[in-house]
Amino acid sequence: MSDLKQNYFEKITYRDALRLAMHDAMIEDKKIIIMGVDVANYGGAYGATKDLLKIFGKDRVIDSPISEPAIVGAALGAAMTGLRPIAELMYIDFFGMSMDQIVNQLAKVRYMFGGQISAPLVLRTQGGTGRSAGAQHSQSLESWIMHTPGLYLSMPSTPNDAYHLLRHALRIDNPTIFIEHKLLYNSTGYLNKEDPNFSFGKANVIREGKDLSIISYSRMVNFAEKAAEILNQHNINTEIIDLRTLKPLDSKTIINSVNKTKRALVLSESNYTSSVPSEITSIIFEHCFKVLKKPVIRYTAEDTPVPVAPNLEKSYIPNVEKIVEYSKKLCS
Amino acid sequence: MTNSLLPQLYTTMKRIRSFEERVGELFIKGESAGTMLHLSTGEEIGPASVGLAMSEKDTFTTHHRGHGIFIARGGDPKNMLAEIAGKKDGYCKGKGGSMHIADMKLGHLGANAIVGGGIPTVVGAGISYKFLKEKKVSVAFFGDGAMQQGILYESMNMASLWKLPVVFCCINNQYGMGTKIDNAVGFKDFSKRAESFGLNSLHINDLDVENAYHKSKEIIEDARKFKPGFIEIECYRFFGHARMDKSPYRNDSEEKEMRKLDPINYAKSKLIKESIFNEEEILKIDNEILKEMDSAMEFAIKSPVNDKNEIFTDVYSEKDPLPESIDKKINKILSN
Amino acid sequence: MEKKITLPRLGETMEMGTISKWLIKEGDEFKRGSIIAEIDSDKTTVELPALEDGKLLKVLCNEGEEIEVGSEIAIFETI
Repeated sequence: MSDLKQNYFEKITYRDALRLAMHDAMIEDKKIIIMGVDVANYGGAYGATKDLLKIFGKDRVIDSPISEPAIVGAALGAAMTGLRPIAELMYIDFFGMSMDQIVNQLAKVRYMFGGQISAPLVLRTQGGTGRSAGAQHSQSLESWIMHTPGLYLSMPSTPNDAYHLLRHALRIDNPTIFIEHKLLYNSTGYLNKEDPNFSFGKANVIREGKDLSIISYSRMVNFAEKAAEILNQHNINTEIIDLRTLKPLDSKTIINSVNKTKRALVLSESNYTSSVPSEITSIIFEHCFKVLKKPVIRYTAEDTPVPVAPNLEKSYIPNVEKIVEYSKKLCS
Repeated sequence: MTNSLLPQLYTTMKRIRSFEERVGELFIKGESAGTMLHLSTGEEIGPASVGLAMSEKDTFTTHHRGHGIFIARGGDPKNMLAEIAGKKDGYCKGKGGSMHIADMKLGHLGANAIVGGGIPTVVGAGISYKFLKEKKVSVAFFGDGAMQQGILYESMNMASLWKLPVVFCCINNQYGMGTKIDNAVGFKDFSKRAESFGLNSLHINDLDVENAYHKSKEIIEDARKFKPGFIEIECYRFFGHARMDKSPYRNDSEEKEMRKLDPINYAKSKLIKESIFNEEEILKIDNEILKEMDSAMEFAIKSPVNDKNEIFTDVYSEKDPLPESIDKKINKILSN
Repeated sequence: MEKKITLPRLGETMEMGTISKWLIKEGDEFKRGSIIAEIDSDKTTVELPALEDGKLLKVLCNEGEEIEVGSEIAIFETI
């Protein structure tokens, strides 16, 4: 990575922004280690840890056996005894294997032990469709984590956010679940390492508008942006909110937006039932019911497992045409 | 005067026994926080021997039957019983109870109510100690039930692969709740399993706590030199799975015979036989212990309950705002 | 000194219980911690330890009789 010392990048990939975040954090804090399957020699299944082994050595970038429960559990133990581990689970779909260590242990050690201990662990993973990877490698399981007290949850959609959110996670004393998206790794954007506007826990209003609020996170933010362009041609002025973190959730920005626009569409790639959009819809209803002109729409993936066939997979998740269609109906 | 460690080992075992009796009394008196109390009565040999074999700064995790280990490692009976009673003066402010008791200062990285849940923690501690060049060992205590949990094998493999300063210690009391190991285990040689992972294994199956101590000490010190180990200590769970429940799934005569194999009586006989203490001196020790545990129980009963606001603390770090109460949320919405 | 033993609440949901077995009889001396009876709750059978040394004077509840939690089951004399 030749541009390690650069502070500003006009165009950097999401993947490289993550790598840079880990690199910069590991230079600053010698207690940060990375462990996971194929993080060292392979450089990470999606290349996010490429070359880090060369720079930091095998004591700090550790290839793990395929033991997801123990990867999380050992990383937790290391976090409780002086290190700041980044544990990687290659696919969020593998969370099932590790749920005890994530939900019963990591999320609860501080509480159960009466505040005696911190567990500053960052659990990095990725999810989402788009590679015909099938039902067990394509899910969006963030609601499992959002439902669990004690865990922070970050889901950046841009390289700049990815960098800052990961650096932040590596500085705080709370465990953070950091969910990347497999189709975002190659996406590009700017990165300003000294971004004065970055604020952890605040949603990003990436487009201001007065007619409709589209609230989203991760890859679906791009879909919202494309839809907003089209809606503009129909004189519909869309406000787009990129949540960036689901825990802590910036409800205030959501509520302020919908109080202004009076119409809301919540967009995500997860299943429909008991999803993050379900939660956000509730919040909007609770705080904006007096001003809402139409019901809040949750637009998510189908309530089915993810199919492999590319055409089916594409239809399984939300698409820009439908976002435009529902938005027009909301504004009619 | 004697160089023998038997007096210390005897005292530890007796303190554990006496402590567990108080836990039982707290339960009978209705003073415990709930009734999920798993007594280590009869199993004192493991905690006492391995507990003493560990060095001062070594750390450990336990299973749900971990009071004895905590006592052996210096847990204060007052704060332990207060925790078991769900009170403010408990180690975990009453929020963890018997099954989630912990004391970071004494190296108790937490008791776990999930069978096997605390095992990988010691692997992580081992990673830390090796990385930070701290000469500490971390020991996972668990029961025969956990020998069938996959996480144990993942952890043993990691310890072996990365040559970590950790020891896996199985307190085999022959029963996983209501299931005898004959009905849970295909091939009953736990040490062999550990050996096949490349671990330094020890199997103890007698009542001699001194012998258990010396052999365990070797395993612990080898672990300190990055040879991870495994210790299996066979014993018998005198009472049922929890509280002083009867065990209808156990053979009455088996229970009667096995309850006679008491490591404390064995140690007492040895103390007398080796002329270390006489009956009177041992009685004196016993009475001191009784006084200590009775006063700890009184402390726990008198300790106040915590303020309701404690529900909301320790979810996130101190710097973070507390979670909002549901009452507050609802009232805000209703006033919209 | 004479004291009474009452049926303890052996579980959060227990309202009634039964002495399934007395392990001592009137006139027997017992030590604190020794098991003096077996009690059936709604969920399990629990071995009841004596909370102090004593001599059993009178049994107030027979084996098999279902009684309320808190009822008196025996009178003993402290020794």
